[in-house]
Amino acid sequence: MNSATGLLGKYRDLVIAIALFLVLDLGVLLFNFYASGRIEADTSKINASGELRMYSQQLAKALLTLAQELRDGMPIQTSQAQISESHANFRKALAELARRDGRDDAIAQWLSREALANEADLLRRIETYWQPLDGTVVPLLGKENPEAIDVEIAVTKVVARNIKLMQLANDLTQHLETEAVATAGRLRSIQITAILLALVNFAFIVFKFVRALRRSDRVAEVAHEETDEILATLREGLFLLNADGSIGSQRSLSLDNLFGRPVRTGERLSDTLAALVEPDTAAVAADYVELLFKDRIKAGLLDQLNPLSEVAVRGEGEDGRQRRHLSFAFDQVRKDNKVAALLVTVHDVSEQVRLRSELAGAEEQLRRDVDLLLAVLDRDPGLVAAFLVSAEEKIELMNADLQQVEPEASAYAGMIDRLFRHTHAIKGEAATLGFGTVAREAHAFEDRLVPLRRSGNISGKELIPLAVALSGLREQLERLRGVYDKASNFARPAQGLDPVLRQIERLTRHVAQDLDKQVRFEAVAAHLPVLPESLATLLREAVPQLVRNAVAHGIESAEERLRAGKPAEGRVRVEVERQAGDILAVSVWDDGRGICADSLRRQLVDSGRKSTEEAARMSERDLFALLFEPGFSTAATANPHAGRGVGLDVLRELVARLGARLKIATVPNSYTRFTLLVKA
Amino acid sequence: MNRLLIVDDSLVMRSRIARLCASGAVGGIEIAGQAANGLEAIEVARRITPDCVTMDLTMPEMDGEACIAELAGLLPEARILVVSALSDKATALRAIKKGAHGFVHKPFSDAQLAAALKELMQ
Amino acid sequence: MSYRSLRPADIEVFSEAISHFFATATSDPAQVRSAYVIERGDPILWNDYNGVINVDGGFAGCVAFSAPRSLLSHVLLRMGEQDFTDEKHRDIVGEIANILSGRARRHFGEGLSISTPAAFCGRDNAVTPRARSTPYAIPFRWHGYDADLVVHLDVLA
Repeated sequence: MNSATGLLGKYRDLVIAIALFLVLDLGVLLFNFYASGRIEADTSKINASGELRMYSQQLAKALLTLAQELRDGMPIQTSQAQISESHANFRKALAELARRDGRDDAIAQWLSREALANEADLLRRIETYWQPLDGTVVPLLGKENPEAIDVEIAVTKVVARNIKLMQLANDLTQHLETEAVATAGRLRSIQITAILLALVNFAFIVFKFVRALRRSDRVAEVAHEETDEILATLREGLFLLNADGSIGSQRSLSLDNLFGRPVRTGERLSDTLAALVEPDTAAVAADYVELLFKDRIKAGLLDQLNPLSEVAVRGEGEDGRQRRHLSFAFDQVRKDNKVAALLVTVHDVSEQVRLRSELAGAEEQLRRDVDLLLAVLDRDPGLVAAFLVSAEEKIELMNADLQQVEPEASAYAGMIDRLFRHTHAIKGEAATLGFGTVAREAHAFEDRLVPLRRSGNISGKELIPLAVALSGLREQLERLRGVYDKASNFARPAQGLDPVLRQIERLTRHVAQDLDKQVRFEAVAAHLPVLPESLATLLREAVPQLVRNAVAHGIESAEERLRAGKPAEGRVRVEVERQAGDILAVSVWDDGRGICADSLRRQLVDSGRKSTEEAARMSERDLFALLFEPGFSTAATANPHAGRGVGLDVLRELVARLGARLKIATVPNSYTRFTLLVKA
Repeated sequence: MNRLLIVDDSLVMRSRIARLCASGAVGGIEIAGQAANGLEAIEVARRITPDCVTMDLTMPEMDGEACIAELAGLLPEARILVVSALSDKATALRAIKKGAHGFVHKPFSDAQLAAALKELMQ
Repeated sequence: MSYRSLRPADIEVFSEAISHFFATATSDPAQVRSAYVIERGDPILWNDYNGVINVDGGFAGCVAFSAPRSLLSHVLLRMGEQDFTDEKHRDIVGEIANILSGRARRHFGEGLSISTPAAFCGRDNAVTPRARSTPYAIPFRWHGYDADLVVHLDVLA
């Protein structure tokens, strides 16, 4: 019902147009009938009108002949017969003219009301003139011997009226002829108009119909294109899964890409999955799909159990990096409340998974190098012990920091800075002593800290890897502690400066080797029977940083030195001396490129920390002070010895803690000397 | 009116589900009984023949999976919604296979559970 | 038996579970503050109420939810509870521990077999360490209350 109305609705215009066309055609046909009838009638009236004139003349002539024959006593039968004939013919023509058929109807009235009125008027006048004639002629007809007097009277009347009658008949004929031509013209116009209308209507129908057809063709075409388009370009795969577990023929082309191979109609999903995902997952998925085909189960209530909601694709990038992940969604297609099929949508969610796993950042466990640890035992046990105590203390501080930190951006930032300093100090000391495993753990910890330090917006969750990294660092220290405790039973700590300086020399060589530089280490030390604690701390924590700095930043590459007219081998010297007033001075000197105030200014401007004008206004003293700010580094890229912007930063804290003083002396392209002054 | 049996070893969870149903957030449901473990659930179910059941999985005495299997035999018409914190899918699917109809993760919001219960009763 | 200790991703799953639990169950998010290592010798449970889930299967250890009474009362209130008995607090602390470790099975898989919760009050020393690796604490803040989820877990190899 609805669709029938709809159909009529859709084709309403067309139906009306065709109906109109038929009506017009029929109208034209009927009108033709009418018109031909009218023309025929007009023709016969024109003839009749002509006859009136003729018979009127004949009658007059016959009467005159009769009168003459009566006067001459001749036989009168012939003329009497002529009179009778003309009289009868006249009346017949008059009757013909008086016939009103086809002249009183609406169409005739509408076509030629005035003309018809004129016609009737003329006819009436003819009758008026004819009536007396008729009255005089009729008595003459039946008699064998009409009275001469009667004939004379009739002759007189007929002759007198004949002229007028002929005149009137003439008028009528003319009128009828003119009117017939006019009517025929009007009829023709109407016919032409109707035919034109029908033609227009026909054209309208053709236009309308063709347009509707073309439009529907186009819509169908577009719809078709769209479907093709959608199925071809959909990034997500789409297919119908039949109850027998086979993949239906309706599916998107992208499925082939997603699955990494062409999919066949009728292929079983379980086979597809077996090749695509881990066997465990495939098994769970088979269970899941089976459940979805159970009529009692509603897909919506099982969404949370979909094992394919985010599944790794097998056999690609086994390193876990470029592994693709797909997400399958299932919808039940029900017929009569029975699950007939499943509509399955497949998305590639690799990108989302990758982003998440990057955040999670599963860390590779560091190799534990017990052998190296054991080799470390040839170091001075006193130094190892001191290192362990200070490192353990720092770990404890760091963990307490993690435990107590308030969840605020500023608190996080401050904590990250502290963690960085502690870690860097541990790394420096560990490297000095040659504890590679500890140094590597500390370096890894720093790697974790770097992105957090740059990020202005840290969340508590991001600190989780730090706890794990800290635990790793702690584990290495515990290992070292275990070995040390055992070893310390049969080792005696050495005294004095020598062991410390030997460690520093070892560090210098190590850093120089790593950075491919030629460096000679020199040590000049005053004789000190006991090592004051403040000096020991400086030598353990500060000097390694300064030496590292001297080699990494101060000493140039061999080629650069030669170009500058210096010996290829650079020099790094550590001096320990007693100064007046119980002051101990430790200095680290190198004959490298010195610190250039202008290049510091440039670096400040390049990093966007200062404008050109501000940088230009800064004094050398202020510029050098920047070296001790957290995060400031003069090396272009980070390596284990430079570039993190930590180091001098540690120094500043240490100097503050010990109440020491720090001096810098430098000449570009000549030397740099850092001197630490501390009370003995 | 659908009669609901709530099975969960947590008293708080049971009363939360009960309150949600009583609040009218889920129309056409009334609490017919509660049970704190699988054995108790079977016993209560025999007595009250519920139309719907919410079922925890990790429970003492008898766990949810075994309980579902029993209930499916006992009350084949009853609809069972698993409400559990167990999020590994194989276990949950096993439980559903034994005769449950749907699954909702703990923790859930009121809206989540209400929607699941409505769908369960449809 | 050899084991590996937890990786950041292993612990993050618990942090995610905390966020998810509070967001879903109370519609107020919890703020995970940080994560830290529990020092050897320190008790792993220290708050008013502690819910402990023992973990077996391919794992050894426990997951413990340690919270002040006030936090639990507030959660109970959010869940529409009217009376705040000791029993209700023990119940909810155990249930939260159960839900949080249940969610971890998403990450660790079916092998992570979890016990029904045991609830303790205060610094009960009833928990003997079942894992050898480092215990981690994930401190978080919800509605101004501080609580911790403790993860002490060995992944057996």
